[in-house]
Order: sequence, then structure tokens, then C-alpha cells
Amino acid sequence: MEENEVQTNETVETTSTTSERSQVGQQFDQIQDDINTIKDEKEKSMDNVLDTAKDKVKEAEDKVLEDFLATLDPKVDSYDDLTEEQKEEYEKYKEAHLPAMIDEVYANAKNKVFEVSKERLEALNGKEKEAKEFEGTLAGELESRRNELAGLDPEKDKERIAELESEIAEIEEIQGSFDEKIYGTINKAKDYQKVINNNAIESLSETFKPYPQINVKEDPDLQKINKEIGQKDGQEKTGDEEEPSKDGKDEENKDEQEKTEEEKAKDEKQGQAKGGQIDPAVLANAVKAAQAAGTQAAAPAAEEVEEVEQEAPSLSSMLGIDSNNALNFDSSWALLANFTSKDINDFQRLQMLNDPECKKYIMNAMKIAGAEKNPFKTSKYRGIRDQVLELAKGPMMEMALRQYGIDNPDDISKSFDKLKAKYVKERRAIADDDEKAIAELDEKYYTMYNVIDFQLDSNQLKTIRTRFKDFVGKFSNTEKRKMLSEKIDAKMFKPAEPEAPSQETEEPEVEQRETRSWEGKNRTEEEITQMDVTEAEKENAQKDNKEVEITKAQLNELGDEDLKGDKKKDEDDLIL
Amino acid sequence: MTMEEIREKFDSLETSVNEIKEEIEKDAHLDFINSLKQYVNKY
Repeated sequence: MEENEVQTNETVETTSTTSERSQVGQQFDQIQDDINTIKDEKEKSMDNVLDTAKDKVKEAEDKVLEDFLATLDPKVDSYDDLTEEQKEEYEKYKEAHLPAMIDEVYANAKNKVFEVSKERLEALNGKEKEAKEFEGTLAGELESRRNELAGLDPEKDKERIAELESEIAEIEEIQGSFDEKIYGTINKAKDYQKVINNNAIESLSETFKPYPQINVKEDPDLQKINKEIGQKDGQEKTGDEEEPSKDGKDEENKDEQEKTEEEKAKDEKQGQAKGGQIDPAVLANAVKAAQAAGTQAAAPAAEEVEEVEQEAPSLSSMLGIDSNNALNFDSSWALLANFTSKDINDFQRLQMLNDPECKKYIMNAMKIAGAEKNPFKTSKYRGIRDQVLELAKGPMMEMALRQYGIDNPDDISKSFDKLKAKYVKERRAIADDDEKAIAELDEKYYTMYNVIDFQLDSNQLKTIRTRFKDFVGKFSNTEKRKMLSEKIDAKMFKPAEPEAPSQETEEPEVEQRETRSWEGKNRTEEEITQMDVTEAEKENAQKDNKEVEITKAQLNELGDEDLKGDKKKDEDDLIL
Repeated sequence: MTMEEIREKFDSLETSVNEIKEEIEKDAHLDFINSLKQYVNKY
């Protein structure tokens, strides 16, 4: 019996071990598959093609030196060991041998760029073709169901009629979603690929810059790469009626280059308005701007530092930002992706990197972009980098504001005024006794103010606070004006510091109610019109005005007097 | 074609198109820019 038990246990153990091994084996296979997938993806990526080109250029240079050193007798191990005379000979040797090797590297890189692009285009065009065929099938399916429906007896075949009607509706719905879900996606993907191709051309241009025999940007082969995408578009389209759209698209692309900056800004705005995802056209423009920035920024070698420093004032144009159009923020991000770790540390001043995910993305982007090419790494460029950071803050805020429906914030002050106006308008629509709605509105705007506050530096903050104080200063009720003024200082414009949340938590709702209450007495007509929240309040204020009969001049004088008491405190507060 | 076949075919087409687009997006580093946008959205 005991022997049997032992045998059974052994059997169980053996089975279990086999099962565990099988599981481990499966896991191993899975891991290996994953690794292979990642390797495949990496190999297929354009980044890999471009990195390889850089490596190959280096290899070619090393090979020429190695070959030259091998011709020497006695043997010399490195370039540094060469005599001056040998170095001159080496230069001649290099001149004779390197260009051919570089040409070959360039030809290979160019082919690879085409290969990656072509493979994806073929896949996309294949899907487009498949989609068109399927659309044809659906049209046939729809017709057959409609025919069947037409032949049915409304009385006898009620069930089948209902079934067919439901199917027809569903097929029509599917047909209707082709543009968005299939063709829209395909076109977006093609646009993204164009952006990648443009980036690739820029990168190749940088890599082969030291070799004058290669002019990447004027290479007719590379100029064809995005045209090919357009041609493939056209080839896949059927019917003459679709031709104009192809031509239109090409024309649009052509026109794009001729558009004014204003028109581009308008396009970008429209693109952004489409939703959270970046519109390819917007991205293309942004990357184009970033490329222009990158080209200018990455170009200078160490010895050219002085020269480029003189060009520093044009940094805003490098970033693709101008004061009238802060919508090119994507280009700022793209440029920020080129920052070194030192820059990233500085970037923490903007409090962006408290989020590890965000930091990870920036670090990855830096790695991908090749931080070693970063012109900001030399100490002479620190000043320029600081300017970049300053400029980047504006777009960050614009981006944040846009999330709250401020579509075209020309500058911080205007944005702030718009926010204020929006608040008043929305508050007016809420009944005074609807505490919940009021609390929600306050919360929303409190967050918005924090967003602005979060992005501002001390000077900007000072301006905003002054403006808002001016706004609040119009309150005729001295106590309320003072209280609100203090609350603004304490809550809305306090920099996002750790103590801020606890301060908010500590404040009871009733106090918040006071900050949002625009009640007041002795206002002027103009002020009432500008600031009222409800018609009832307006009427009360008008009544109060009559009773007190205070003039606007008196009110202003009173306001100034009252604010004088706060002036010292305000000044203290403004020192951040 | 049954409705189920039609649905499957459309879903498969949509999925494969999205996969290609995602691969291209990855290469364009759009995830980086979108993540930053999402980050800002949090505020």
C-alpha cells in the first residue's frame, strides 16, 4: 500500500514537473516571440534606418583610416601617431577613397528609406483596395436585400421584413462609416508617413552634411518619396469623379508651401479644433517648423558657436512661434525633444516632469532625437536654451487654455479676460440657490485659473494679478472687495506649491461661496453691466445706487483709497 | 453574405488598417506629443 502511495506521488510529481516545464517552455517561446517582434519593429522603423546610416558613415571613415594605416611601414596604430606629413598623405588618401564609400552608404540609406516607406504604403494601398472591393460587396448585399424586401407581402412576411429592414439599416451604417473608420485612417497614416519621410530627409541631410558631393535636400530621388504617396493615392482611386479630389489634394500640398503664415496659423487652429488627436496636417506643419528649427539649431559645429549666437534673436521663428500665433506649440515640443538631461532638469522649473510618465516620454524622445546633436549642450548656449524654455511656456499655457474652450488666445491677458467673461456668463445662467451648480462652476474655473497660474512666471503672474485686482477693485462693497482680493491672492494666483491643495481643503464651501459672489452695492451702471451675475442682482445694485447716489468718480476714489490699504500687502505678495 | 460575416469582415478591415496606422504613428513619435497633451489635459 505504502509502495503504491509512493508510486502515485512520484507519478503526480513527474506530471506536475512536466506541466511546469511545458509552461516555462511556453513562456520562454512567448518571450522569444515578443523579442523578435520588437526586433522586427525596430528594424522596420525609420529611426533604425537613419541610425544605421550614421553608423555606416562612421564605419566607412574608420575603414579608410584603417586601410591607410595598413599601407604604412613601419606600422602606425592610430591617427594621432601619424606624423604631419603622414596626416597630409592620409587626407589625400581619404579624398581618393572615402567619397565612393560614402556614396554607397548614402545610396543604401536612401533605398532603405524608400523601402520602409514603400512597404507601409503598399500595405495601406492594399487595405484601401480591399476596402473598395468590400464596399462593392456591401452594395451588392444591400441590393439583394432590397430586392427581396420589395417582393415580400407586408401582411404575411412581417418578421422577414423587419429582419431585412434591420439588416439594410446596419449595412447602410457600415457603408457610412467607411470614410471615417477606413479611408480616414488610411489617409491619416499616409500623412504621418509623409512626416516621417520628411524627417528622414532632414536626418540624412545632417548625417551627410560633411560630404559635399551629397546634397540630400536636392536629391531628385528623395524629392519623389512623398510624391509617390500622392501617386499611389491616385492609382488606387477609381473613376474619373475621384480624380479632382486627388488633384485637389496635390494642389493643396503645393499651395501649402505658398500659404502665408497667417493662413497656416488658421489651418492649425482648425486642425486643433477637430479634437484631442493631432491632425496630420497640423502635425506636418509643426514638424516642418520643428525641422526648420532643428536644422538651424543642430547645424552649428563647436567652432561656429559665436556666429550662431548672433542668430539667437531669431529663436522664436526657429520655434515656429510668433506673438500673434502661439498655436504652433507642437513645434516647441518637437524642439524640446532635443534637450539634454541638463535641459530636462531646467525644464522641471515648469513643473512638467513631476509626472514620471511625462519624464519618460521626454527622455525617450531625447534619445530618439539624438541628444548628442543638441546645440544647447554647450555652456555658450545656455542663454539660448533659457529663451527656448521661456518661449515654450507660452505655448504650454495656450494648449492648456484650449482645453477649456479658449480657442485663439492671443496673449495671456486677453485669455484671462475671456476666462473672466466666460465665468460671468456661465454664472449668470445659474440660479442663485443652485449651490451645487455654482460649486461645480467654481471648481471648473478654479482649475482653469490654476492652469494659467501653473504656467506663468513671476512677471506674467504679476501682470495677471494686477489685472484681476483691478477687476475686483471695481466692487463697491469695500469689505467684499477686500475679502475677494485677499482670496485671489491666497487661492487663485498662488503658485502651484505643495501647500496649495491643503489650503483649498481647509477652506469651507461657505467661504468659496463668498469668493464667487458678485453681490455688491453702489456700483455704477457701467460696472453693473460688465460684472453682474443675475438680473436680480443687477436690479438690487441699481436700487442701491439710487439710494446712495454715489458717482463713478467718487466710487473710483473710494476704490483707490480702499486699495491703498492693501497696496503694501499686494507688493509683498507679488514678490514670489 | 450573412450579417455576421459582414460585421467580421468590416471589423477585421478596420483593425488591420488601425494596426498599420499605429505602427506608422509609433515611428512618427506621435505618442510622445499626445502623451504630453494628455498630461496637460489633467489640469
